[in-house]
Amino acid sequence: MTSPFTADASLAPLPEKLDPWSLFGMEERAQIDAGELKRAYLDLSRKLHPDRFQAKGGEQAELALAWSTALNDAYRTLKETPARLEALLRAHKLMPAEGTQNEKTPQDLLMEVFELRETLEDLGDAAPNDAQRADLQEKRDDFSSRMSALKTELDTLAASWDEALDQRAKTAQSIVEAFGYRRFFQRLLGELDKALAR
Amino acid sequence: MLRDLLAEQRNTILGIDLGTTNSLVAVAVDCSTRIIASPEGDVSLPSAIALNDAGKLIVGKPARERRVSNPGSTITSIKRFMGLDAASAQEHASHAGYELTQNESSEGVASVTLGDQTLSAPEVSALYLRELKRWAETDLGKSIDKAVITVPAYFNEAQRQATRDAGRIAGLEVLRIVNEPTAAALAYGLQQDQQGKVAVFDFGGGTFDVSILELTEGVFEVLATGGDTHLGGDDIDWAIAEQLFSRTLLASDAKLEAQSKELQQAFIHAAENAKIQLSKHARITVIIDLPGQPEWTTELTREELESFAAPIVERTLSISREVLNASGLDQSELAEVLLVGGSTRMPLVQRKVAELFGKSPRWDIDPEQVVALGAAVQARILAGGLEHMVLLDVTPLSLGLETWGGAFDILIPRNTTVPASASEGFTTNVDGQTKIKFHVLQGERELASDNRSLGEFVLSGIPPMSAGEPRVEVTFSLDADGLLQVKAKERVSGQEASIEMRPSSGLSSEQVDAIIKSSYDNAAEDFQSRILLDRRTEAESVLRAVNKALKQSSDDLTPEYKAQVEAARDQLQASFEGANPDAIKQALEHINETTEELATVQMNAVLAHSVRGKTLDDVSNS
Repeated sequence: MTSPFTADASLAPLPEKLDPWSLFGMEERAQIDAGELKRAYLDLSRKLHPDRFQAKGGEQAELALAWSTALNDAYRTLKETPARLEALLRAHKLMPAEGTQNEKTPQDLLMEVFELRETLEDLGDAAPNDAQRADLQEKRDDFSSRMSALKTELDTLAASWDEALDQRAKTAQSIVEAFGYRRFFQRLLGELDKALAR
Repeated sequence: MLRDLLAEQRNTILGIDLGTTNSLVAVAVDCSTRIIASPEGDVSLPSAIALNDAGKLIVGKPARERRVSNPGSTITSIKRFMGLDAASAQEHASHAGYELTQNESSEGVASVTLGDQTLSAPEVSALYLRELKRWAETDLGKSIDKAVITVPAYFNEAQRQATRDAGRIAGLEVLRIVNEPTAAALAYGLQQDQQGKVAVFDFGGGTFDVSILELTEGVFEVLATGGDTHLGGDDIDWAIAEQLFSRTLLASDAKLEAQSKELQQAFIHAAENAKIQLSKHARITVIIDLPGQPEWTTELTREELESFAAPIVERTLSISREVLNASGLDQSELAEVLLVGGSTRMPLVQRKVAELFGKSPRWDIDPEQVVALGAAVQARILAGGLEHMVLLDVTPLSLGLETWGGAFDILIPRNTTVPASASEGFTTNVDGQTKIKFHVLQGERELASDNRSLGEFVLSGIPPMSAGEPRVEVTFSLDADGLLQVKAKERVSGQEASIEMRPSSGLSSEQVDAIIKSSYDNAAEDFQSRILLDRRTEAESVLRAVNKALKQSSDDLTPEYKAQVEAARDQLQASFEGANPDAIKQALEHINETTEELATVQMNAVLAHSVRGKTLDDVSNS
């Protein structure tokens, strides 16, 4: 866990890169316990808020401002699934660079919305008439429910990520066990070879 | 001497509500707070200044009383002009009884002219702050130079900065600017140890705010906030006044706006009274004294008044719905709704708020005092007390930059918890370019020109490189007060660029310094009057004591000595009635010398009496 405080309970300078999970003392996972996050956030807010350092003034007050800013930012990142997942991908260098693939509209949707785009352009700044309004509302409801579905999908993907993490941990455990056996056999074979060589 | 001791022991920080109609000051004492009243016992200071008949500047109640008879020389509701340049201020000036100082350029700060003095809005506000400071110093018996001042949550950067300037001009170090609804929540939270989600509906004389907060074990987290810095009781008064005016035979097609200021103020005054009366009664008779005419009367019912006020109240409800939406909460999740501000005394407002939020609102802490009390709580937190409490407020307006084509690019969205920051990358367009200019604004509109300009920033000191090479990272930070700081770094060279801000409006810090300096010249005068006041106070108490002693010990004194004391007493009395502090000082010294013997006589008498079985109390009460 990254602690903002030094041994004598004063504020340390902000590290160059701050890992949000580490600040809240949480494991770097795609899913988090909202209650736990909130409690940690409130607790740290009490300790880091610039108001707490008003009396101390000077450098400590400035550090408190920097830490609070970072804290609020970290909380915003972890609070909502999309922001959290993006932070995860960036941390593991899995987020494509700006202006490339992820920013373009998925091909399969382009055709679907082609007509809709034309309708909106023709409408310009004018208010839609009743028929247009009904049509636009229908499309809105449709896309709105697809947006909700996406939200659920991201939650599912987050769970997948964590499962993969857990699986990886299990696999690592199995590898460590295998290493144990390997060392054991290496030593035993060594002793047997020595005996057989005589 | 005792005074100095107390001042050393605790550095008191004041909590001040600088209101549109009334201002109040409060202080935290251990685990509770209290409002500090004036030496005369007034708990609030009307936010008004005026010139009296002798042409002297007066502040508070006596000033407010002149607003109907002398609207041109009575300044009220200056808060509406805080943070505005002279040109934008004109848009809000039509209902004021006074004229704003004319200023063709939009660079001048909104100002008023009284007699031969022109005062900017922050300078006027400083007069209220100075008066409240005086109340506090008299009450607490020590000098005070630190305060927390509240502002409407919806105040933008310029309006907040103007409030800070006012504090500085008044000789107060403003440790924190706190949003009014949040301050109110603090006051309730301290008192009631509140938990859960709370809505604060703050409807004052000139501004409206609504905030939704979550209170968890001492942490006050604002979830969303909204408002209108030019919507308040004053607007309701005007709406009622307009309706009353249209009933008069003076009307026909004439509008109240086209009438003289005196006439307007007469109707506004009647409207305000009607509003207050109809909160208690169902129907009243409105009487208006019209200049040069017989008085005019009309009957008015509460229903009628409410219909006049309805459109304005509806606006507050519509903003409230938006904020509830922005918070992501459903009304059923709210534990409490708190009413703050004088305008919430209207039954119409109370009903509508209850309807909107689906629960009965609370106003058990006086709606007009709760903000100042909350500011005092915040002051306590800053002084190091109440360690479990902390305020997590939000910025009410989106912060962004103007981009190519005049669009508005948001960097920090509204309702973001502060402190907060965002970075943006810039580069150069021309080879060897060493400066970059950008325009910072606040607001929610698509086009930059529809938003509130904070100023232009000029970044210089970029090392000359080919166009597009430099990587300038500019970080925009909002501190706990919601005020903006800008830092820039050129990443290729690692150089910190220097930033110069040209604010779109507001007093420059040089201007504030100049104002403070010129007030020192006046301070010499003030100082003298302060000394006179102190000496007269002392003289008064000495006179009382001597007269009493003379009465008690008259039998024990020789006629010659008694005459001596009486002469010294008369001298003191004469100097007390005069205006010369030195004369009083002399008289005091003389009487102290003269009455030494009298003191001894008194003391002996006391001892003698007690020997005879009388108590000290009996003696001093005789």
